[in-house]
Amino acid sequence: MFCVYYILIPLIVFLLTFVMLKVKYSGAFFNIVGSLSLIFLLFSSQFKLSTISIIEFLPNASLAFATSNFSFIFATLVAFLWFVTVIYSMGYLRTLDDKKENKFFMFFAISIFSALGVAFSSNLFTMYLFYELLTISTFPLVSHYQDSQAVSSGRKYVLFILGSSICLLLPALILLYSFTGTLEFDQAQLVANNVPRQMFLIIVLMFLFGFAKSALMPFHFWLPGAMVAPTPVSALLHAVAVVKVGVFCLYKVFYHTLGFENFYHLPYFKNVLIIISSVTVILSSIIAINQDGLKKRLAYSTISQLGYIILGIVLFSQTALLGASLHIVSHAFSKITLFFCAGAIYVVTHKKYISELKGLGYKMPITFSCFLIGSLGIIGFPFTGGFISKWQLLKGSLEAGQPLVFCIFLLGSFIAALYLLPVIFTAYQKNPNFEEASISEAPIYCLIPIIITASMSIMIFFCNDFLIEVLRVK
Amino acid sequence: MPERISILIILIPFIGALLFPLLKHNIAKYLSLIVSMLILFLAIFIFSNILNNNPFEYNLGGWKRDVGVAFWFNKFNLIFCIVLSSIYLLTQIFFIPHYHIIYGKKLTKFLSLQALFFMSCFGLILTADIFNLYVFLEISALSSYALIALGKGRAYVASLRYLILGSVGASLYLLGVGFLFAKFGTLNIFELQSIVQNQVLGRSTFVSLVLIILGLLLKMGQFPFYIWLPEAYEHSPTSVSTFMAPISTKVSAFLLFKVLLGVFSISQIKNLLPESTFFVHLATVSIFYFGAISIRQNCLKKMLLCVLLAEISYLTGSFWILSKSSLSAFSFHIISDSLMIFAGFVCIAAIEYLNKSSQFKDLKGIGRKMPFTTMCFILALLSLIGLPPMCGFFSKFYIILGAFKEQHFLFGASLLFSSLMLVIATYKLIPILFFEDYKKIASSRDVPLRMKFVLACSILSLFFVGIFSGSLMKLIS
Repeated sequence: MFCVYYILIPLIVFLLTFVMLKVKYSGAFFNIVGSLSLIFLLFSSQFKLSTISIIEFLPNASLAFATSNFSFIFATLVAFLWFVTVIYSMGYLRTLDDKKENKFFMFFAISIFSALGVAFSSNLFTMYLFYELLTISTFPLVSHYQDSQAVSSGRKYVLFILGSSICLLLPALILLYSFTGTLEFDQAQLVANNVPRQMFLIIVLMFLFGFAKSALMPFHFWLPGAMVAPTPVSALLHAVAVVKVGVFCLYKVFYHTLGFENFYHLPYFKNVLIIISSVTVILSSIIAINQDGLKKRLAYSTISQLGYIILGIVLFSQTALLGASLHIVSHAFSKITLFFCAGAIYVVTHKKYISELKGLGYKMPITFSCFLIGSLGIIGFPFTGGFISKWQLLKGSLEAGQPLVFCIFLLGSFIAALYLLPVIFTAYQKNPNFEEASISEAPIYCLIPIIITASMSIMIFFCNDFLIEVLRVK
Repeated sequence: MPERISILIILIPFIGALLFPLLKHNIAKYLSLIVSMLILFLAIFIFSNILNNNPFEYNLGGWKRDVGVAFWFNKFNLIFCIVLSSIYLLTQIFFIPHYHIIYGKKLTKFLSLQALFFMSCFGLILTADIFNLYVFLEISALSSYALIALGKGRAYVASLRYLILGSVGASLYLLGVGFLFAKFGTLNIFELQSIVQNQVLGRSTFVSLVLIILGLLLKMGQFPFYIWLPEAYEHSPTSVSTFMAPISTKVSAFLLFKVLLGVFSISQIKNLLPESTFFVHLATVSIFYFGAISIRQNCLKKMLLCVLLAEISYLTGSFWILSKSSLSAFSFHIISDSLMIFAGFVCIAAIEYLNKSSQFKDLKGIGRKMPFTTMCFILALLSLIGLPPMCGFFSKFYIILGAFKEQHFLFGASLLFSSLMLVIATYKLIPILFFEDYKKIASSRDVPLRMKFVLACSILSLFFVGIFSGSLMKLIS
């Protein structure tokens, strides 16, 4: 029963903001109150498991919610980062003098609502419903500035995400439903008995590419395009909520619906899946090296790290799966730190390109040291959260008997160092032009969230045993 | 409930149609509002009675069914009647203060024709007699020719075309009925069913079946017999196309279901028409075709008409798959599609009310001036695309499910394709509607409250039908 309340909070925030759209600062206020109460509620529930079914749409496919350990962790992550991002957006939007602040916060709340809906959905049908809602509700945020660039990246966004979910995800759902007669999770036995083998392969591929929010190549083009959005949107939605919802759905579908045991006798097909996601990991990392736009580079880095998570899922080993779910958490903190830093730089200097950052490191030491922490987290350096998750992923790849994947993981981290550390090197080059300019750190509203997320990404390293305990699948 | 009350659902609009020309304009206007309200209440009343009891038959004038005219009241018929009468009521509320401006002296004629049209639609849905059905078909056709001709410009031509093709369709149907009567000696659907059940059906039944199917497909506007449809609804007055476009094609589609499956069983139809999957392929082709051309339109109304034509083919396709699940999908889609198309047209009517045009080039930035109306339109489009939890998603889901179960994968794919095309078309609209500055309308007000109410009702009905689709499906199947 409780799980409905978690989901309802952002919805209420959305409605209140909608009603008081004209009142100044109402959006920020309601979002802060909502996120705080959500965090409070999640912690006070002590991760108690519960289920609720609201209305039955089709036989064996109803609007139903359930909690699990993983969904709790995911929801807590989203709720916590929601709070941090709201604080950050207040600083960001007000410094840039944005007129549409309340509208921004309104759509922000509804996006969080749909992300939580996905997290707590107890069957594929509910998951699909909220997945689509998330697409619709983030679209206004992507096209926030309403210029020609926003139009073209909005087009990519709608076409790739909505198109893939209509053309791949929906038929996959219907096929699954027509064979098994149910859309509940944990029906692996039913799938094994009723779905013909070739159909099974088709359905798996449809699911893999259908969740285009997970940005598997070649369905990744929307993500770099979506970077025209205001930085808080890129930070929370396109580094955490939206893309992680994509991989979260893949996790659920592969582990709970299709069932790992149905893949054990398909060695070649498993290799195909691994190759598809490995290509994404390596190729997007290589593309990232050549990107000069800071946010674009981070976007390609996100694609590559999402590839890690997908690889962790398609290795079909328990340890790799644990690594994948840990990576969802640790990558979230590191990547949001990086995006916050990029936004802070933009707010102060209006610079978007890495080549323009020369000498900034001396002016904004806090920002860039946090950037360093975030980068190390992505790379997987010890004493950051990224190390924990990558450790589990590496262990999982060996357990699954895929030494090649082991190498790919390492190679990906190496390339990550190649594209992230030069940003800091550039920032600390001497630049005589900057000496006189009056540039200082970003406003305090922007700075505090950066420090919080950066320290969280280190914290994960030290309290990893709790996370591993909770996320380990039985 | 005394069963004879139920016939009032046809008699009230009929009496209204006779009365309106005799009354003063203002009185007639509000009387027609009352008429539509009465019908809605009546339909709901009968429905709530049937919900717990059995469906019943009403014999007009007490004549037995083999001589007289019988009406058949069951759950699906009445749900459809409720949808129709609410569309009637909502269009009345939406347009009533403007009837004067639109029609001037022709006002009472319009009201009378409108009542006749709805009367014949109710008759078509409820009657259990295939000849009586022809009579209602003609009444509805005649009233719609006249209604379309009330428009300006090319409306006369469009009406004439419709008249020619509609009459061909009706005569084909009549010919088919004649064959059936000559063979089996009765016109009542139930009598026919009981006779046909135990017979081996010969060549003459085949001919009559083909004639009836052709006639009804013409009436439905199924590809390739659709030429009359876009023109007729484009040039007719907005207040006419708003209620006619969603209803008339769906009623004809329902007739296909009623006549064929009322008389014959599924296996008999499959025996008589071994190539029945041909129609599924036809529908597939037409869905691809209309999906593709829908993105090339530059006018809201034309775009929605393309969608309407594609939706008709959804109906044909899912009917001719001829399996139990696809037939219940067919019935559900009749309901949800009437509501969706109505929502779309009513939004266009609201846009045209302030803006006078629905060409894309005249719509720049209109989303900022009329946020409520445009949001409703976008929601209607999203429902047509098939996003949960609106009813469009569920009807599409059921249709594709039915198609996949019978291995018609291409037909299922065509539905997805048309959704994708509609996504593109919708996306083309959004920058026009919301991102550009708008200067044309001087006042910054949205449409009046009355219209907002109608818009909100039509959109909420999409959500309602979607959310309660599970229980609705149980009623239908």
